[in-house]
Amino acid sequence: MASILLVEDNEMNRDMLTRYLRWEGYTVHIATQGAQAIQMAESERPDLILMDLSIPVIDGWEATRQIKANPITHQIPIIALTAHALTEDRYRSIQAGCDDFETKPVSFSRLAEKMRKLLNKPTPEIDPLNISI
Amino acid sequence: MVASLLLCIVSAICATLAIVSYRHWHVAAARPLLLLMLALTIWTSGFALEIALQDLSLKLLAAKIQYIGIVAIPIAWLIFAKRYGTLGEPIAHRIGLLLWIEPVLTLLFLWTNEQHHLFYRTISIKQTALLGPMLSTTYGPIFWVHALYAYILILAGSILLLRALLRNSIRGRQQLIGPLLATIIPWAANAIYLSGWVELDITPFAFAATGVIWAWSVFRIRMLDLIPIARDEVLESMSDGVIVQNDQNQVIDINNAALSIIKRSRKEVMNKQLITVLPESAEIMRRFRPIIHGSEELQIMDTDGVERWFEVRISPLQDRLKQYSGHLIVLSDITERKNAEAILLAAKEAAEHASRTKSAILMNMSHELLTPLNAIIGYSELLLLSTPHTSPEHITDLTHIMNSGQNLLNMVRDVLDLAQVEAGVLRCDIQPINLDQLVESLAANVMPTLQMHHNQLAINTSGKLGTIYSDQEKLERIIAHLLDNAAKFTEYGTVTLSVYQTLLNQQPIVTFHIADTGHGIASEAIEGLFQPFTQEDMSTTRRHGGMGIGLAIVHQFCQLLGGTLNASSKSGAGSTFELTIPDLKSAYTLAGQESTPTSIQFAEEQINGIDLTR
Repeated sequence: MASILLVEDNEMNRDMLTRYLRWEGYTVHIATQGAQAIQMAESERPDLILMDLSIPVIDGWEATRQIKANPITHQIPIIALTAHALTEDRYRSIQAGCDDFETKPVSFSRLAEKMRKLLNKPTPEIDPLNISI
Repeated sequence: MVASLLLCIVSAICATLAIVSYRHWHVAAARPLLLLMLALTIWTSGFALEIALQDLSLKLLAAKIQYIGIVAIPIAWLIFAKRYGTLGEPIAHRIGLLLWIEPVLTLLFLWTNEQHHLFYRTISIKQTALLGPMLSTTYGPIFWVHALYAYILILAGSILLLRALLRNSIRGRQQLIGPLLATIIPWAANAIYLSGWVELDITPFAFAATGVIWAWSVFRIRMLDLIPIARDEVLESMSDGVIVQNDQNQVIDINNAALSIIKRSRKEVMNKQLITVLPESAEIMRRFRPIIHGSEELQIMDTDGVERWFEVRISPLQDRLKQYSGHLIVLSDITERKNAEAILLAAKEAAEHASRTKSAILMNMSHELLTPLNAIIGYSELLLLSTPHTSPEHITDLTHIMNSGQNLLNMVRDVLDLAQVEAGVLRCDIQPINLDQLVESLAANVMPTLQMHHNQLAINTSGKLGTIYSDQEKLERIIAHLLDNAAKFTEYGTVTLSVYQTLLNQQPIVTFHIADTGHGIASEAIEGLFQPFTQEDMSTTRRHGGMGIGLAIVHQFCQLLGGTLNASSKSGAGSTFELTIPDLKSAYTLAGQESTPTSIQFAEEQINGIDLTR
């Protein structure tokens, strides 16, 4: 079964999502900070990353940018998790390189659907960010 | 005889003008003019008599009568010139009386000439070819003294009028040219006669010309017309300040209102430079200097330190020859209006600030509410997922918790949405929408509510539906809300969803009809339907829940998508909502090129169209 890297600083949310993901049968790795997420993306090579955007020190947007800039990790799909339901935030997360977006409170069924889509789909060959450079 | 007749005509003219002047008694310049005209009438009629009468003693009597008029003319002229040339300032009374001493003495000497011969040295009759017998006289010293006196007064009057003419400080040059010509002609004629060039005294005939010019002045130029008086009256009773400035920038007229605005007396400002009188006007006057009409707001500090606002209107003045001759300046006190404006502006800013604050607080609060809700819904869901370990009644309890949490979540989202719409931070996320799938999922979502109220769902579509480019999330929210409302407010009825794809002005559009057979909406409630916090009445709120902002958000979303939303209803016969949404493919196509942004701003415009699932 696929392995997931969950980046989330809020303990309650982390606990809830971990339990749900494990119940679904995923292997869950946990990071609580941006720097840790970048490092674990490389060391654990997860199949998918769930990235809370408002994490301390290096925020989710920056962590996403770095993971997507690293040739070893850039193909890992990332779903942004945020409490900000603003289109503006969605735009920023897409701009940073996130593949999808889920607004908190997370609906398990909706999240599961999005995860399934990204995990079953081959990684997009053309990364918009690389073209723009 | 001809000369006599001519003089009679002139006399008649002068008498008429005297009557006209008398009728205009209230005009300052009319009084000396009346005197002048009476004097001229006496002179010319006396002269006519003198020529007509044959007897020497009678001729002499006529001559003596003439002089009553002759001596009065220079004085009348001077008073008139002073009055008219310096804008209504009369000669001081005492000086006026002193002026009469010499004429009275002259008359006394003339009438007693037989005793001393100081006026006429000799008197005889001379036969002339043209006029028959005429008085032939040689003059004594008294005559020459009077002649000198008369010339001096006439000269003084002429100088006064000339100065006024040059200063241009009276209402129209033409009003003065008449009197001036009228003065010069007879005295020039008189000078010619006295020099002995001509045999006949042509002075009275010159006065014929004078009379005509006077008439012209009075009737054509309307020198004595009421209009200037009426205008003066209006000017003085105005609450606006009026200042007239000549082409030398001197104040030449000012009304009482203007004087009270600048807190000066008339004496202090007349003929002074406007800038020294009203320093605040310097800037404006420089700007409007040459020939421009203009108006400007001007702040003038009161002597007691209170700021007052005036609207200054400046109009250039032209004389009859279209020559620039000064400015008319009108000052209107707009302090109250200014203050009211300032208060309104402050109130508006305060209201806007309050509204922004409210939106910000709502947004923050909603975010804070979302976190605990997250836990409530999430953990109940987790517990439900692990059903094997949960007892049946706990499943029911957990379902209640989860549903309540979900309801609360929907309300919080509504509040957040409304706050976002009002704060103007909501954007559209354009993507292709498969209409068939949309209708299918909408129908599935509304099913539980429909069943709860024992309703049927009918779906009408024009065959297989295609794709439309719009914001899927918002479009879903709009239709889902309308369907949900229809399902909630109808019992044992039918909810119909009809979808049509058509063209409007050659642009593809989609129309959604959501109709129900419920109790409908009262016609008076339709109008405020899309305003926040209005539900038909409080009882429906209690029965159906909700805060009454759903339709307001739906309406705002619809506007965001460039669509229109209309409601029609008959109380008791159901409601129909019609939503029309344009195809926003052009916005999406633009966004499709997002992968090669040329600039951040450009990319920002386009990002709305990214397919998030790609």
